Amino acid sequence: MNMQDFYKQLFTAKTPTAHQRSLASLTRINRTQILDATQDLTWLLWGNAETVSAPQ
Amino acid sequence: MDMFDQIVNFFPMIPHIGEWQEAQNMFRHAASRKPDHWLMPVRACEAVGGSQEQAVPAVLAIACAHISILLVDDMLDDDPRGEYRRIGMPASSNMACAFQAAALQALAQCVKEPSARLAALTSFNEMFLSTAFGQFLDVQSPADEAAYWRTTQTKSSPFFGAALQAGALAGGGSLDAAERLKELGCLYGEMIQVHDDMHDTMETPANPDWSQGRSPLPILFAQLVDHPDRARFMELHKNISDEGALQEAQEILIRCGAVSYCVDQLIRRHEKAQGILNAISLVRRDAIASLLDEVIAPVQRLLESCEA
Repeated sequence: MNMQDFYKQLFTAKTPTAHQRSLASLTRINRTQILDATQDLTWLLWGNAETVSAPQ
Repeated sequence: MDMFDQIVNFFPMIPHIGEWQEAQNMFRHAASRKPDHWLMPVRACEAVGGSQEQAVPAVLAIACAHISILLVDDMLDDDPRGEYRRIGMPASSNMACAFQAAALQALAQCVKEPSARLAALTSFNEMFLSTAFGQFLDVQSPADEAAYWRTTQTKSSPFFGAALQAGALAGGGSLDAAERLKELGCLYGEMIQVHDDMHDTMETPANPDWSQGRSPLPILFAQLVDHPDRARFMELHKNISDEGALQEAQEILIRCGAVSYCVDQLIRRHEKAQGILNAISLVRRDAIASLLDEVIAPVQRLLESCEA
C-alpha cells in the first residue's frame, strides 16, 4: 500500500480494524513520545555518532 | 577477550595492514565504539550452528565494510565530523578503498569451502556496488516514494543482508539458508532506515535532513500526500530555521499520518521478516529472532504509550 492509499484508509475507513485504530492513535502523540520510544535502538548511523575519526 | 578486541588483533594480519599504522589507528578507534551491528554475522553464524570463533573474520569483514562506507558517506554528505576533514578527501578516498579491499580479504579467509567462499565474496562485492549506486541516488534526493524505497534498498539494506549472509556462510550454513538470511537482513536494513528517518525528523535542533533538501520518509509523506496541512508544511520546510517552524512542522508530521505510515511500514516488514525466518531451517532460531524483536521493540513501545 502506498502513501496515498494509506492516508485514505487511515482517515476515512468506516469500520477501522484494530490495527488501523492503533495507527490512527499515533496521529495524536507528541514528538517526545517518539524520541523516548526509539532512543534505545542502536541505529545504523551513517555519518553520525559512529563517524570514524581517528585520534589526533 | 570480547569480539571487538579479537577483530582489533586480527586486523593487522591482513596483508599490508600490519605496516599501515594510520589504518590500524582508524580501525581501533571505530572498534572502540563497539557498534552493535558489527556483531550481526555472529548471530547468523550461531543460528546455523557455528561458533563465535568461526564468525570472527566475518565480523572483521563487516567492520571494514562499514568504515569504508562511512568514509565515503561523510564526504558526500559534507559531514563536519568526517575523517576527510582531518586527512583530506584524497587520503580519505584512498583509505575507503583500502578498507573495502580489507573486507574482502578478511572474508576470503573465513569461508573455506570454495562455493561458499565464492558466494560470500560475490555477496560483499554486490553490496559495495549497490551501496555506491545508492549513495549516488541519495545525493540526487529521491522525489517520490518509489525513489525513496529504491534508494533505501540500494544504499542501506544490502549492508545488513551481506552481514547475515557472511555470518551464515562462516558458520558452515547452506548456500540456501545464507541466501534467505541475506533476504531477511535486507528487510532488517530497511527497518533500520525507517527508524532512523523517524528519529532524525523528530530531533531538535533540526537534523541536517531538513535543511539539505533530503526527504526522509516522514517528510516525503507530508510533502506528497494530499492532506489539509500540506501547503503549510511546505512553507515551514522552506523556512525551517525560523522560530517555531520546526515544532509546527513536526506536529504536522504526526497529525497528517506520516509517523503512522512509518510504523505501518515497520510492522509490515517485521511480519515479512518473521515469515522468512519461520521458513529457514536453523539450529538456533533465537539468535535471529532476537534481532527482529529488538528492531520492532520501539514500535511496540510507541503503541503502548498511546494506549496508556
